[in-house]
Amino acid sequence: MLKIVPLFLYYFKNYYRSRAFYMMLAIDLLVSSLLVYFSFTYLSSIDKYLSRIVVNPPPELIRRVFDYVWNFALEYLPVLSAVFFGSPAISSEIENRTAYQIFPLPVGRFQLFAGKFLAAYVVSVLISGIFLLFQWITFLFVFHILQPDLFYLSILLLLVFIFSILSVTFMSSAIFNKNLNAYITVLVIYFLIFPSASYVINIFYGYTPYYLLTVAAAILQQVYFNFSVFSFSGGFSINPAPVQLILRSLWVMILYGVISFTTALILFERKEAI
Amino acid sequence: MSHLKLENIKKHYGSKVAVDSVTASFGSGCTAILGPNGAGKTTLMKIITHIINPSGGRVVINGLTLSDNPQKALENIGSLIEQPEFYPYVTGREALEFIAVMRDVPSDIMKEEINYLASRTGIVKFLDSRTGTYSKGMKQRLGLAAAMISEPDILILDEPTFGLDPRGIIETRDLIRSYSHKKNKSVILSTHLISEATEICDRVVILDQGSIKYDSILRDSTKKIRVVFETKPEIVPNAEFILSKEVKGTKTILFEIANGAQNSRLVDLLVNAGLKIKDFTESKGLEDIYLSLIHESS
Repeated sequence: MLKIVPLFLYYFKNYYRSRAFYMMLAIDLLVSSLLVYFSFTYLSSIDKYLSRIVVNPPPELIRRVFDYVWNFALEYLPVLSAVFFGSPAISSEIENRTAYQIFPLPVGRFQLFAGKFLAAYVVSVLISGIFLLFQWITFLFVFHILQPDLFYLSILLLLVFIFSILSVTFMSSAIFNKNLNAYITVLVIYFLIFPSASYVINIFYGYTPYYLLTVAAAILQQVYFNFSVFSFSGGFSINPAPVQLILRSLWVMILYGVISFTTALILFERKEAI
Repeated sequence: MSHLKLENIKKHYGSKVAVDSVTASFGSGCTAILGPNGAGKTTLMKIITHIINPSGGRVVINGLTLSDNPQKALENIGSLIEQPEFYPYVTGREALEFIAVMRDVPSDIMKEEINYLASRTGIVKFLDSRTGTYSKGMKQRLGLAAAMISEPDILILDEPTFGLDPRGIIETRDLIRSYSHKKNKSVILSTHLISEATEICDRVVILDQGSIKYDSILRDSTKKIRVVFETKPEIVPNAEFILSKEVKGTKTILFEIANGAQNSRLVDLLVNAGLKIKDFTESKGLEDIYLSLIHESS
């Protein structure tokens, strides 16, 4: 009988009561508050700055600037969530010896893995969801209007990105038996190696490496403005990213997600708690 | 019927042999696995409970091969391996409920079973506290309760009284003993304490350097005589007072004779058969057997 639901509920309980969850919540609320303050404070003066780039910037453009700034922060919330909830997901079972409780259960390793992944995913979505709620309410007050198409598109991309980055952290966790090694690996890869590689390739080869997850994840902001800090060989555009760029970024995220998830699952199936 | 069969189980880590061709069967009752540190007791238990895979051989549980269908085979096993750890933010009750659900305990009897096990293992007072606040002893008790959920046919317990206070030790031993006396239940526990082994269990297996050195039913009505011969005996005579003979090495035989029989009868029998005796020692109990076997190995 499938036991993913009770597994999910059990792991979810452990996640949302954890110190890591409250820390993420605090970060979430802090960043959201700062952006609310920013939105209300700079609303009246943002068109002055935009006028230096665009003559008579339309209200829609002003709105997209705020969306872009909010989504710049939004991209990093799932990364932090994935580090907190995903990096120790498998390695902690070995390091903390909880594997001695769960491995002898009459439940397949796939179900154990899937239940835990689902719980980490839902918790990560919850954290991002709180941020999105702040964003949505703020924009209702500030702009008195929602911009549904791009906003919902960015939510869809966010959900895929959470799956993607969480899978990468689960894979890192499945490789190591120590939490610290898993944490460091993910942080180094995402915040050091990928961005460095992106800049080096941009400068020396003159193209943006869209196959890097950091570059693909920038689509969360690029749905509003086709500009990314990881891509400066293509120039800046005040228009939203074209459909083909969105689709390409989506595919890259899905590929990272599927390959990492599968690799993590295979490693977990063979894991021994020595 | 054997609940659990170990067929030529091996486990090595590189060149280090942790378990070396262990073959044994376990039916109803309690078996204690004794051995020094590093003997391979915990490794063997981890293999039986699918925490690690053997390098060779197979584990058969109630007729099912563990490697072929681990999910089905593990339905019959409850275990307590090393010092148990739980997810720190769930309560003891939630941990037990979780295991009960994983073991398909019907929801209408789950609460009653959890309360019963909690009272038998002495964890009622802190059952609704988070396991992250538990002491080592509390976790050990919770671990034992978790192992017994759904009354599995086979209970694998790795030093079950470790970290418990004296009262806890007595209560735990009573609980294990009564569990092993239930119909068709098999308990296999590892311990460093010979007294614990003889108090709780009917059978003792001594493990050292990964292999079984001794495997015998504990009987009060018999005594064991260890005879070392000058040369390898070709034929060993029988007599009605000799209950069993076990060959230990090329020149050593362990005779089990009725307590009432005189040792001199055995000596006479062997000498009359033309055998030259080098050493003749009556075993004072499991301690001597254990010490002599471990000494031989080292």
